[in-house]
Amino acid sequence: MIPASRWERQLSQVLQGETMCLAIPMKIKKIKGEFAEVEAGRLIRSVNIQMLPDLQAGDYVIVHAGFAIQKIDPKKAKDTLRLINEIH
Amino acid sequence: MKYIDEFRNKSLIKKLGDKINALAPSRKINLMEVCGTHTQNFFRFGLDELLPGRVSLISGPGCPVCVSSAEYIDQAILYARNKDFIVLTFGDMLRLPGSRSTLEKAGAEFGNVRMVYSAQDALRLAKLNPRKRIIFLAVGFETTAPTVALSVMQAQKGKLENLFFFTALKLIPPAMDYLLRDKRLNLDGFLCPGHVSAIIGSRPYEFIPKTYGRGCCITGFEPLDILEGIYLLLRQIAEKKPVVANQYIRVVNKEGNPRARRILSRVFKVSDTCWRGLGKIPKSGLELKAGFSQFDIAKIMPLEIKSASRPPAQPSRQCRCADVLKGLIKPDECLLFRKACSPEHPLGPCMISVEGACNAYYKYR
Repeated sequence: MIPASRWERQLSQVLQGETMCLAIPMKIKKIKGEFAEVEAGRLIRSVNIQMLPDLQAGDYVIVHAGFAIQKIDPKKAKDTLRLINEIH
Repeated sequence: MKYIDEFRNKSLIKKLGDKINALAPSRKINLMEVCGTHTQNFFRFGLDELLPGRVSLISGPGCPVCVSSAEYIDQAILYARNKDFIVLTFGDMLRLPGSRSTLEKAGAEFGNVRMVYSAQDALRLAKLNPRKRIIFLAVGFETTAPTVALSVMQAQKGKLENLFFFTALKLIPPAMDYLLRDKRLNLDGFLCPGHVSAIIGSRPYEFIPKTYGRGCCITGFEPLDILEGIYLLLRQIAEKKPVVANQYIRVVNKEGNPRARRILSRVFKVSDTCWRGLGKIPKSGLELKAGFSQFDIAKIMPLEIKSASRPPAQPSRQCRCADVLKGLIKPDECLLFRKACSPEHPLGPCMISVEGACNAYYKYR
């Protein structure tokens, strides 16, 4: 599988351990105890979710070095885009 | 929303660029982006072309590979020379020079250095190789530290007796404090690292406006994030009201991730540590607490490195990574840059790491 876009290539570098520090938004597909199956583009991984209580399938999380470290708040993401739009 | 393309919207990028130009004061402004991923993305997306010349972005020490000391690599190589050990490392540490060699060369020679993506891999490999002693090289900042801490706790719970950690984890706010004390830098504000802040929250930065009267802004990593972070910082400077601003609200809140911090403080305690280029900074590192010392390879098998008798290899004497890491010079002011030193033949850590400032300058400028 060859990732298509640049960010997918970057993502795959992260997930193969070529770079350690990047963290990326990934979507939770399925939760299995302390782990979850997450996806971004066509890439699927299993990550540890012990640092985040109350996750559900469909949530987006920031994944770093095999762990979900923080949940992304969709409402606040929209707020950010709206604020940028409203700067005048 | 997938949280990527939405934050790469071209017309909004252009609009923010224009607003920054209109807002920037007429004097010279020095902003530091502490995190190496900010440096990379700033140049990767060509955002430098959108800023007015009088606004400089200075790269900071937020690249864990870049700030790992040569002594740390020397010691890791000594472990790798022992055939009973398997040394596990994040990929971009492989080419980082110690005083004489790299982990990549040691791996080629002794065959027991392996690249991993997560501290979780260390647990798996320890179980798979019960006759080997597995050493995980734990480098990184507050983002990585809880992932290591949780893995240490799992190792203890699983009674793994052949897994060890060689830790050089570091803390970002003490390094920012160190840089603010350096009068040569004359910083007007900081872009704070988004994913370190995802763990620590916004409170640990409050000393920046309180003690130093400088502003800062927790910032995400997409083009619109970085530009909005710069915009919010410039607005603080224009209004002369320094605060801890937060651009990255979709990921960072005031509290950070309390559960991650609890895990971290259960396993680690704060200690002094050495940063390549910056030297020893008080209370800027993490070491395993006494209850976990059976996993601390530096305690179990301390190795003496006679650093005085091992001068660094010739080319690196001219390497100015130390000044780049402090923000005192830009990468292209180093004599080796683009000549003896490139991503294919890197001489210093800031070129080796994909998070390094020299690497970003080389690739994108």
